Amino acid sequence: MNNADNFLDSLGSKAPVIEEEFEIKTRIKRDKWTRKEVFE
Amino acid sequence: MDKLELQAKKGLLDKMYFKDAKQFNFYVCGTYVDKEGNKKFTKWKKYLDAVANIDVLNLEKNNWKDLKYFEGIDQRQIYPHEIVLDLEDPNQLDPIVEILKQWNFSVWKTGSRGFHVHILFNRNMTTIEKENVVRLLGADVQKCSEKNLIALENTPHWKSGNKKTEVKDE
Repeated sequence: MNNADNFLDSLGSKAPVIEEEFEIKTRIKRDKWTRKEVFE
Repeated sequence: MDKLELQAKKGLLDKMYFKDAKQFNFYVCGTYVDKEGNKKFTKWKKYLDAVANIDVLNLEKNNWKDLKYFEGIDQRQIYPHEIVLDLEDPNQLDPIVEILKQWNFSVWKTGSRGFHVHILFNRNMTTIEKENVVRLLGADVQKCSEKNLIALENTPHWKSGNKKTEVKDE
């Protein structure tokens, strides 16, 4: 098994931006009644 | 499919579940072509429901529908700790192998036109981490999704009938 962090580092693809984007995506949820997307 | 082929297939899927997938209960399914020539998938089932329950030593003891489903399995889910690079153009392969040469990976001829490069990791990768790697290496981003199945190793391709086989170092 390859070490994931070392692998990402070697490709230069482990920028902090990635985690930030991921967090934003997970914070978007649908409102229970209106079904509109809301930020928590 | 005869008894020996069924035993080999069960052995392959068992090894994948216990060794490669680290007991991650991955989805499998089969494919077929409908009357209009479109590719269709059979219902997705998990390894423990579609493979683990099959007795390949006493075939008559299986439910015939379960056995039929097992026989048709030719796709599997990508593991959470795995990245698969889907390369349509064989010319893409050499530059990628050059970048990956210090890592453990395997190259597979899909049985159709392209190649699959499988890379396993010590932890699960997020979809975004997978997408970044795949984009950086110029492969198909579709294969990063949890909802995407790929051709099963050592199994005939749904369209061409050619087996997906590992390409060893040359």
